[in-house]
Amino acid sequence: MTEEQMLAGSIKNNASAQEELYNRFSPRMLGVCYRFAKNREDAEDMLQEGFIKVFTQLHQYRNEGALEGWIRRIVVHTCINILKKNKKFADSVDIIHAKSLHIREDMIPSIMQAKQVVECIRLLPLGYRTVLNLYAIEGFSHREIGHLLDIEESTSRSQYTRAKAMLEDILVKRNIIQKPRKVNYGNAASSS
Amino acid sequence: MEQEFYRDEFEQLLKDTTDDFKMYPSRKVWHSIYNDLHPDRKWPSLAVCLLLLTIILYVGVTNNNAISHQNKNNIPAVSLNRNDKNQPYVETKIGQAVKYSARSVVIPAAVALVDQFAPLYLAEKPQATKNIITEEVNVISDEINIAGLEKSATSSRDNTTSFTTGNRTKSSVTTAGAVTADIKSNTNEDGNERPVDGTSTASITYGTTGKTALKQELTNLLAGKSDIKDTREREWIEDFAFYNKKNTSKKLLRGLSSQFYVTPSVGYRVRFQNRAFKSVDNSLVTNAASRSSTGSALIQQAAMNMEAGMGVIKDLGKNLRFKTGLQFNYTDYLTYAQKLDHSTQTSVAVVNQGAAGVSLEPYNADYAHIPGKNNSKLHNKTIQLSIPLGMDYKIVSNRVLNWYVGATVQPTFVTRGNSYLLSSDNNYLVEDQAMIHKWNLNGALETFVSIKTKSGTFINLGPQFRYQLFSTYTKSYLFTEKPYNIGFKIGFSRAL
Repeated sequence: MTEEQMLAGSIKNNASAQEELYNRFSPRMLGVCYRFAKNREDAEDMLQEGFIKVFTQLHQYRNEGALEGWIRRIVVHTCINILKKNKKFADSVDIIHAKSLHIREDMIPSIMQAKQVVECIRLLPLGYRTVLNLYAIEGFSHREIGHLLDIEESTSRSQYTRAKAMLEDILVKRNIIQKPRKVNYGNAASSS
Repeated sequence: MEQEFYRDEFEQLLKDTTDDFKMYPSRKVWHSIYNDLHPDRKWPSLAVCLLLLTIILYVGVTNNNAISHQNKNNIPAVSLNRNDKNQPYVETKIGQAVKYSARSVVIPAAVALVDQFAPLYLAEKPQATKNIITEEVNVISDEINIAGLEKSATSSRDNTTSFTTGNRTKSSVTTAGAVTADIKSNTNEDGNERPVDGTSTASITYGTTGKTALKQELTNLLAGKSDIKDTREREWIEDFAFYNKKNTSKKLLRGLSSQFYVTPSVGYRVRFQNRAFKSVDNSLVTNAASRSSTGSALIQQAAMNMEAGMGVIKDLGKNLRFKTGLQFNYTDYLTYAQKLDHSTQTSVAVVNQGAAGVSLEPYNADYAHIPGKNNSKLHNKTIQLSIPLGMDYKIVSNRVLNWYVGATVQPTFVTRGNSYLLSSDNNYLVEDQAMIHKWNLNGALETFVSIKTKSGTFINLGPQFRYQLFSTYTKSYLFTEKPYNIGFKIGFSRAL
């Protein structure tokens, strides 16, 4: 089934076309959800809600840009909405400031390449993780992140700086990247 | 989406790497999406649901009969031998048979505690952690049982931690259950072995109420560990534990709703003679005036009934939810009768409990059941308190409307009631509240639509059928009478 057929069938509420579309994009989208979620179960809930929105709004897709990008954007927004609805994110952002954190090398679990990086991201506290996911991977600006998460743009910047420093430290100690740096998350200046 | 112009190598690395990351969702995700997109294809599920409800009601009715006929002497005595705590099994005697079961059952309380300290354990024992973390499971949020800890801990060579459980039993089985936690740190921060006398060991024993004490002891022990000297390291551990700690209260409230409802209804009864019934010879009636008629039918009529209640609903899945609460029932139906000018002696045939046969018990009657010059409406009413236990199944849903079918069984306590018993000669109605069953069981079937308002409150509207599964009267009375109601439920529910 071509992408056009799949798209047209899904818009007409054809179950087999919808399943085809789901099977094609769900693994990558679950990977996206997993970076935001607390665990796999939550990630699957996010995926489910995201795909329901995708199918109900599919008629709005204008063939401008890749379909995957369009789906991904809906899924990311769904993830953020769920996090905000559960108030987990707000709690985390409020209390994350002014903590002196240090990562020991042996605290990081050993896992493999892409998944290894994702699992390292998931070691970050929720506030850090969400901002890092949105800025570094999903390409949102700090202004957009501030708007999405109901926080100041400057807060997004400082969160990201700390998250980045913390993640770099984890990745260096895991020999995933070669970039030694001084660890000082508490007083990190805003960047980007 | 506005793209930032500047991205450094780090962001690029992250993006490139994570873009390749895929995970495969379980099939239930697609099934849930499918059900949501195609609600009209749910009739097979509905059929299964209705079948389930029928079975629940059937089991309720048949159990009543089974219990009443059961000879108590045949019930096997069940006893637990748990005096010997060193015994590695629990001995259960069921009648003549003896069942042995393993004593090493994971204690819920201990699991919760281990779960609480799981982040600490993770931070302290990375080698062991490898065994716990699977590719797609977040170790911090998942429950770790003691057996898992034991297995993992013993695989760690450099840094040994052991959680041993002696005499572990479920707290519900024994009050003398004990948990012993031994934490030994044989290495210092650099990974070198420490002297034996540097080993810190704690043994905590607690009963069913000692969870707090154990938690405190473990906290003290971990705080006093000599190999955590680095303040930053300790702060990190504390932070790690804090951020990944389960929010128990939120988890408990998740998927929980409160509901309030009222159901005006029309109520009547099903009435038939029970097995012990036999017609009584009119000649046995001592009052000669009462012998005048035989077998006249009662004139009865339905009346307005009502139920009101409040409760909680717990989501068990996308379409299924459990509900319970407290409910007030008012049941009533009318009997038309004639108020006598003066009381008349009559009798009611009752089944003799503990002895064979039916006997006539003398009563004074104030009403003749055949209407005459002083017509009266007698209210056969009961006031009940019940605890409904049931399930709702969502058949169809969209953003605003949900359609449910539901069923409940309702253990019921009858606080008061009026009973008008038919005399043995079928002529009079006599009052005797002692004939009313104090405990009963109702079953209810309902279907309703749930309309979501802008404030997030759901308004629930739909018909309900309720049936009393056991007779209103005790088994002494020769008639079985089961009220039923057909009503319209109006209520609202809101997420907690």
